[in-house]
Amino acid sequence: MLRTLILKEIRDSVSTLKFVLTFMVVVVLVISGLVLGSKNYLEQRGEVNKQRQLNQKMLESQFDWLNAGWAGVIESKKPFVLSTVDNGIDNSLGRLAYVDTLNDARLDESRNLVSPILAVFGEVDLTFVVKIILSLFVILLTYDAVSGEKERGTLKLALANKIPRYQILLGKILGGFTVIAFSFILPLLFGLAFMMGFYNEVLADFNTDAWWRLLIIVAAYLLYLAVFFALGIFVSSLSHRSSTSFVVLLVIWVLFVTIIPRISLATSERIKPYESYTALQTKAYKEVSEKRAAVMDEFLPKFIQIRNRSMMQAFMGGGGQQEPTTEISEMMTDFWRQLGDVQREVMDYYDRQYERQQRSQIELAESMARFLSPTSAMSFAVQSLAGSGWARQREYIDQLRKFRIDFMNYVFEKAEAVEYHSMWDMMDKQKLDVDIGRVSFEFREETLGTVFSRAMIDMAVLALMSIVFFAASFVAFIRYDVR
Amino acid sequence: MIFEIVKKEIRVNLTSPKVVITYVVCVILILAALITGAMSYLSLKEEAVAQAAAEKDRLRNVFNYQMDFMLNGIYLYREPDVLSVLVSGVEGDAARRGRITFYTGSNFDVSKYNSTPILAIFGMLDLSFIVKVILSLFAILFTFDAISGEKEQGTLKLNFANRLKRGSYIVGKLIGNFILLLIPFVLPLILGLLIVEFTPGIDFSGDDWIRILLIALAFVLYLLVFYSMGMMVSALTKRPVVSFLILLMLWVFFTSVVPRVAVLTAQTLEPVPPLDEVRKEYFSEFGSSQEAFMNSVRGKVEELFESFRTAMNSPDGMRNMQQKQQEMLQGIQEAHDVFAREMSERGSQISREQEMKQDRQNQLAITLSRLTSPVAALDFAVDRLAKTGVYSSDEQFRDSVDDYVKSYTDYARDFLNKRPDLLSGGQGISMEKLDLSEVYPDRSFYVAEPLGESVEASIWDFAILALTAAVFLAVAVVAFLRYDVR
Repeated sequence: MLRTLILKEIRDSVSTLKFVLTFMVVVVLVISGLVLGSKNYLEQRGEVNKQRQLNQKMLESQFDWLNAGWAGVIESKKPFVLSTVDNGIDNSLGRLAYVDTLNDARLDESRNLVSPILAVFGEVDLTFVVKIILSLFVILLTYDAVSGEKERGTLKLALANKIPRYQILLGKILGGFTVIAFSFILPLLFGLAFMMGFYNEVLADFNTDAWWRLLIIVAAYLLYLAVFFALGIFVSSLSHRSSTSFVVLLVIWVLFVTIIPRISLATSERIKPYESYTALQTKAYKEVSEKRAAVMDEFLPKFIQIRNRSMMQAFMGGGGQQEPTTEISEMMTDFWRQLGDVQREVMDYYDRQYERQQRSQIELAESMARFLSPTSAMSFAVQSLAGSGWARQREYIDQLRKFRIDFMNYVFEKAEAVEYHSMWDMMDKQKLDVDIGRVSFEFREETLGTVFSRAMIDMAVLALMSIVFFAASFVAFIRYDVR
Repeated sequence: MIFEIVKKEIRVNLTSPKVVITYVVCVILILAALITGAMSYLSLKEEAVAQAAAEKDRLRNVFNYQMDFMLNGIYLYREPDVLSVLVSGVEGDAARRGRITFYTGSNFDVSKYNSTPILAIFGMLDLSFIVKVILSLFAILFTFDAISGEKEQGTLKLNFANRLKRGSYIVGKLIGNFILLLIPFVLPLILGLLIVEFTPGIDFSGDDWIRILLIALAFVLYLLVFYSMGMMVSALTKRPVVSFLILLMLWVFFTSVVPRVAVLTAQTLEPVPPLDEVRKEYFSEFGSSQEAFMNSVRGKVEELFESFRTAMNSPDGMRNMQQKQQEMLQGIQEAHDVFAREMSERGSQISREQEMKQDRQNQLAITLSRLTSPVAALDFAVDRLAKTGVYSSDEQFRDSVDDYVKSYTDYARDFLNKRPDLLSGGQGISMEKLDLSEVYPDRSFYVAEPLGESVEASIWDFAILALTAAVFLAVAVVAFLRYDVR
């Protein structure tokens, strides 16, 4: 019996104009989303290597190793392959990593900063299709599931048979959700097939980890749609006119998708305000300059002494007949190393402080939003899994900081080892011998376990919401006045 | 007669639950948007002022000239525009800090979203968002069943049982319902603006008020587009359910699909080379110029050593040597000057070229999207008027910083001319103080676009909105005149 009900439900929904139109729109959007994502991904991936070659050239042409350290390297942020699916907030986050011995490692120049036109409307990605288009489609499919059948009188007829009420609803739910899952998964498969044909390069970058993540992302999408589906059935079995249930659902949709996330941010900003990044940076800079001055005071007398001596040596020409030593290099390097350490200590302190404050605000806003809006919960889950959110950026910066220490060690090691006869030898420039492997930053993606545990709470919230709404709709339907 | 119908429409609908709910939602959201807008404006402004003060403080105490002033450069901060209270535009992604260094010219790094990603995660709730997304949806909710619904209920037939002209009926209906839609927008807006106006720290100038009026006018025109579209679709369909589905589809397309597609199309048609390629070009020249510079330095040093050696054997050798040393430093300084000027000019030229390409892409994207979606037309109009869009105070700020590069490098060069030893053996250490009045521009170093230009730039958007609304209204009236009321 249940099978008949499910099949009937599927047949009914699939044969409507509404379905055909939406399905076509979804197919087009999913494919174009994946194509654009793939193009962006390939472009960004290419930039990483180009930037590295550039770095090598840049460093080689530097005057000496200390200068090379000041100039530093610029790394293009390595994209994660799932950025093809979800762009998250990545376009607003910095994507060029600056590493040098003078400044703290940082990620700057977001895509949107460089071309703000991108920021005006946002991007078309798979998440956008699910978040906006498919959730609306789910509402369109469910708002008259119960109240509409009542209006048309078919509900009374169905119940005239010897079928338990719960079975009718179960049939509706299973049938309806099959249609929805199908109208998302099929276009997704089309899209993946399309990628296989035209962007196989991208698919080749999918490792097992990435496939698992994609699978979980799809599960999050489906859970999200399930919440709206259950909500639609619930509201439909509470109201007696389909136009009422539609208006109610639409208002809820607007609240979930656009209002609640923004309001929870505004609220948490009020509850947990924090000092701005630039303000802290300025403070830190001030502290750095003070500490630096102390290092300078110690260094200057030594420096002047050596300079005078090496001047004399230069005047004497070859008369001194001294062996070249690394004395000058060591002194200079030590000085710059000390400056770097001072700077790192202070910056680390301020950065940790900033991060702590920021994290607590983000956590507050996120937990408010995720419990109040399935859209937020879904976005957070997908952003964690696709690496398009704040978490991967944070991890990236952490690793970048560690890399900066390696970079400084490498540069100073090299600088120290240079043998000078006198300070004037420093003018004698030779092409630096750069080991590109040691000045290139390799980002290690977080493990599947880490990202999954981050996304788990959001998935759980989504699952819980859909269970609650499903249960509520059963109760409402059992008590529904079908007349 | 028309007046009677207007009154009747308002009276009948004003008490319906739909209207009451939307009114409450509107009042809360509009007030919340304006107040949070005002608060975030104040905190951003405070921050920019504090940053500029701190930067001045730093420059006052510059110790290592080469490192702190030439390599590190100077930071200039942009204060947010007061109209960001109403329209945040692309403010979140716009540059808030410009940096000028001696060798690389200007660049812009900190955006609000990058330093405070939480805002990017959730998006900003501003008045323009509320009108764009929420109020347009309400316009649809108010109109989708205006005609097809009355037909379904049978009241439409009854109306024409009296001696009522169709023309006056539809005009009355259009006016009455539009007034009904404007009330929840206009009243909270006035109230919110009053609250904002009396908030300490926020000053709207006379110009700003004209801008606000124009922005409000753009919002009203935009609502009229969706309103008349709703009426048109309602008059073209027989069942409210159908008209709603069509309208919702159109709404989704206009608000979220079409503008994005337009931007993407522009990106494909007018590609802008990625930044790293531009950098590559720059640095490949940097390398050769630097080599030339180093060669000339080396030559000078050789010369000096040579003269030292000869000086050792002559009676007034020491005096000669000092003079020679002075000459060498001067020579190095001159070579450095040429090198730095070349590089900074080349840098600016490259970024100008890049900007021009970006500009062409932007123009195409703007043209495409404003022609295909009223949302885009509204966005561009209000962003421009509020000075928070793609061509906005951010743009003006960037231009002004670029212009300032020259005075900065001139100053730095003059300073070096006086103290050539700063570059070489002295390791850039200077006990001489920088003259702040020359190094750091005062707050008015960039001015926002004048009102006339903003209006001129947004006039197209107004025209497009007005035209679209007029076409929809005309179709709605014609369709109603031919409507089968049975």
